[in-house]
Amino acid sequence: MTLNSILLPLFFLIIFPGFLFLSLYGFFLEWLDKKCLNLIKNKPGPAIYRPIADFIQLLSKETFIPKHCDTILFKSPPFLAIAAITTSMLSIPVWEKALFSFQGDLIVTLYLLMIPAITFSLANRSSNTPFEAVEELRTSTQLFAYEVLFMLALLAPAIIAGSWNIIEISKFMFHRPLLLILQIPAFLIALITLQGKLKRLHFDTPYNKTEAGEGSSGGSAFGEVSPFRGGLLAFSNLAINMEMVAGAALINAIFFGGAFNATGLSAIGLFILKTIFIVFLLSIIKTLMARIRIKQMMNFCRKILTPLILAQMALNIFIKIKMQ
Amino acid sequence: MNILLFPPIAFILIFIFAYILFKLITPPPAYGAIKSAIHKASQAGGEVTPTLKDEETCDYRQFFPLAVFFTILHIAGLMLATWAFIPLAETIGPIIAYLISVIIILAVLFV
Repeated sequence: MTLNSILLPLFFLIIFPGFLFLSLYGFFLEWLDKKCLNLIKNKPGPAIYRPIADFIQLLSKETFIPKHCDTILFKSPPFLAIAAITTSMLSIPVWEKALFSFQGDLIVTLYLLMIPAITFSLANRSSNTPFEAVEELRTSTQLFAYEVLFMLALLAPAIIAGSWNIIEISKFMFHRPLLLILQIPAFLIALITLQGKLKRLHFDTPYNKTEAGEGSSGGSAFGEVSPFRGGLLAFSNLAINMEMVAGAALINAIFFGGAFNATGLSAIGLFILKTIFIVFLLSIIKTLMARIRIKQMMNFCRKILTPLILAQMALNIFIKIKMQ
Repeated sequence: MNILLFPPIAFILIFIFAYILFKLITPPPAYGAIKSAIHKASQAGGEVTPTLKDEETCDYRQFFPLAVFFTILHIAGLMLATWAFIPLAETIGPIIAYLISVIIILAVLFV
């Protein structure tokens, strides 16, 4: 093994498109999201450096570990989430190709992107306090509603493409833009459920300020209550920012053909433009949503989104059989 | 492909990197033993018991139908997506499997 064969993968993992790129682009998308929200509400919005300033401020604060919690289980979720999201980016194309592409990488990526929600739920549970336990139950309940829909929404185009490889699906969708029109329900469901993965309206019930105060918990960048404080909260928020990048990148690859047919910097530019557009759509959805009760959200997922995605899959199977 | 980019190895490397970074750039954590007011578990203006008692443990029974719903949809989705790209897709098999899946899911949801 040469020095180059060690340094180059480490560059991919730590610098680009790994940890550093995901962090910085995540901060930018967080700012963009807040800016869009404020512009729609006719407010000035935060300065561009605000997300990084918030992150540094949280780092300087004391990291509190509850007395009776399981320390390892409590401390590890932000790092597990960051590791899962960064690993998922190996199979999602940021330029014309992915770093580690194989048949079935879509399924691996989907399950890797499920890890953050599960780990944060475990963090709530491991803090061993009553309010966090209730939040854990709410978070897990919502997870059951949106995770499966997110997976099905991204599997629907995979049925037509006849592949579980992200690059192959991307290539297929790029060459058949008309099919994208038929995938609009799946695309919308993917966007709505990505809101859930990012703990945004209308999936933010466990973080509702009016339902639980800020006593034993810290405020997070997206919700209002988190079991973490200080450095752990900073890394937890960072993981959610990184997930926004990975989620937008995956939706871009599956529905918008990724950066296929472009090379080098133009491919990266195309990736950035498309992911910014997806985050803009996420901001619009967030602005349009009112705060709703958890039961209303669950019913919306089960009785409206589930039949819709099942119909989409049926349509895609029909198209697939007709195409053969 | 380089072995360092193999997903399980990449996962471990990034986990270690993120944890070391956290240790390097944050002050040491304060554990619950410190007796300042900020470390007391409180919510909505009042103190709460620091640990869960048996009667305070959440009831997961209402959770089970959702878990079944989640599992069935997951498996159905994976089965359908698999059948769609093997030669079996030319048969009526996926359609029948799909209809059975939908019936089970709807039964879980609405019955």
